[in-house]
Amino acid sequence: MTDLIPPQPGDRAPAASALDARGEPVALETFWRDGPAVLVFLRHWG
Amino acid sequence: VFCRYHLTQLRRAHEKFEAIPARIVAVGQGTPADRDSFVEAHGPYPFPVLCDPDRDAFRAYGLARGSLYNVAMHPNVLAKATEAYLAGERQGRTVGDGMQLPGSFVVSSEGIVLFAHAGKQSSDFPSIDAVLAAL
Repeated sequence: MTDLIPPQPGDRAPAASALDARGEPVALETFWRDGPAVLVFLRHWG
Repeated sequence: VFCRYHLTQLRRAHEKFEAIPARIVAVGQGTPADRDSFVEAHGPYPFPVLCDPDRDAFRAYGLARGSLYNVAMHPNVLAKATEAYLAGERQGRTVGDGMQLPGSFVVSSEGIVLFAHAGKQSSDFPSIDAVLAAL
């Protein structure tokens, strides 16, 4: 275990990016720019 | 198996999110090729499915690695695995760090976190209703 601390309600969403369908990095904030978004982190593709 | 089970639940509830309207974005481990083969086998999904091979986004959102107990042996994990198997889901090949824990967040258009659920076990996803209630 590590001491990572997830953001809590009221906190600003951390800046981060992930790879899109073309393998290009996309900023996650892109997804809530026009409205709220649900961001789901999955462990793996199993 | 929990990942695909949760994605299936999100896919089923997609219209409820669309009605709000709220977007869904999923981020997994592994390479684009890993993601593509998963989506080919189990998709399509009506929302973007991204990947984070270096787990930088996982770390940015404070999502930790779990213990073997919390990933594979906790009673909640075994109960959820049974539920997922009965729903027809099957375990696939593990990609990336098998100890990585999941997480779900709702973020407002101002970039403020409205809901945060950092998984304590590999099977620990919030209910769809809890996520919808945050929107």
